[in-house]
Amino acid sequence: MNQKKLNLIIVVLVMLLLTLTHLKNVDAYTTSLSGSTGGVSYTAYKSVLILPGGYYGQVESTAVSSMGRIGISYWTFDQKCTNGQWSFYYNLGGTVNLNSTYFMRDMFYSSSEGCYGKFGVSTTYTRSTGNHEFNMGTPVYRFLEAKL
Amino acid sequence: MLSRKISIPLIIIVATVVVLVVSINQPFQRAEAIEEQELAVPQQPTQELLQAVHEEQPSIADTVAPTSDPDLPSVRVEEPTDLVRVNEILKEKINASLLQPGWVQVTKEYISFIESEETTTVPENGQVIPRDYILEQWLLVAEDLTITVQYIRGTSLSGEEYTTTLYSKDPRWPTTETTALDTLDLPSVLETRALDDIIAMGFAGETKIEYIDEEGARLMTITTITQFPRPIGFNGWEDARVMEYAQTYFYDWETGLPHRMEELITREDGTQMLAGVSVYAVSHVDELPMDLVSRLDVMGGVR
Repeated sequence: MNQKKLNLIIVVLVMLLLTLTHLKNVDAYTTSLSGSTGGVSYTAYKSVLILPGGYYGQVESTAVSSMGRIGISYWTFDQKCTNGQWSFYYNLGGTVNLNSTYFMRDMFYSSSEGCYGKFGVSTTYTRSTGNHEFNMGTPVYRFLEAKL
Repeated sequence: MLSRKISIPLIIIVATVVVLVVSINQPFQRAEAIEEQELAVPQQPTQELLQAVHEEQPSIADTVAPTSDPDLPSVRVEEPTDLVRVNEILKEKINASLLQPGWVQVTKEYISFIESEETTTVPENGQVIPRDYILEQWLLVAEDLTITVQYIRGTSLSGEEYTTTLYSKDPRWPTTETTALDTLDLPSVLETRALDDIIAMGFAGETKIEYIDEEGARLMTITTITQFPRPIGFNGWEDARVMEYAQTYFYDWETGLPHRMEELITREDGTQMLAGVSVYAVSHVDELPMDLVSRLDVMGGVR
């Protein structure tokens, strides 16, 4: 084996080691969609993370330049269990920022509020869902859902 | 040759930086609890904090069980601080304490201390979810040591029932749905499922495990911390502005049974508050209460 191959193997092994020592396996679902209204491009994001201590949901709206209204017409972060019941249900009605390029809300529920914690059964889904609002004079509503 | 000599260390450095940046930018960091949490406690003298931070942790296998009588022989007890090993031992202890034919009752009472509504109503179906609750489980261990009945009943602190579920392979109360029993064991009901999740997600090395004496019992505590990159709502409390969430499980190290779980939040202004507490009670039951038998008779209706 020549020196070049040996060096390459060492580099690969070091990279592998560094990657493995920092490996995390958090369940996450992030989704987005883009569009434009009144000549302004926008992007809607939603995400859900399942962490060892609980559950995280987020809704985010961004625009490349200021919009008259940017936000949500509603946002729900909820978890449904295999017994057909909800373990938590967070619902935020129409909320916007005026003359802004950005809107964001997020929420964390601890595992005590989850299906195992509160109902003793497993989870069907954890979900961040709802309509984003982008408004340059005429409102545009875009539905987006992140679900685990 | 010169370029190769330069490029290989360069690649290693770049790889290191990339991996570290990815690690730092993970959505939520879990940190070693000692420094982060204790330094966040307001109005505590710095010297005390530093002493607390540098306090030595108990060694893995050499800890000697405390005894008040120096003439008694001391017992060497294993007190590991590695979550994988702790999880294994807990499961062994729970099974040694509880796994025998008969009924086991597990009760958890959860109380929240945050500023949120006492109930949430789900618009889809009108379901009312209480914030504080008592979750009661009855488990029947059969002669072959498998669990053949799991009865779950949740009530609010004022006694209103919000959930009731029965999985049963027992011919006295058969149910159509029994798959949940196939993988059910006593340790998972007693919260080792949470530890399995932490290990599966790769956070085992970032939990803090300690052993403490409390009211004559030796307790083992497991703390996980979730840090948020910006202030966040918590358990439906929109204005919580939480920056850090710490969850600590307390186990009786002699029996392996859960004692309680505490949730501590650190808010944006640095103040900390106890957000919630779960208290557990676990016991063998020789005879089922009559009202429970009646409920099982009603629910286990598939014959």
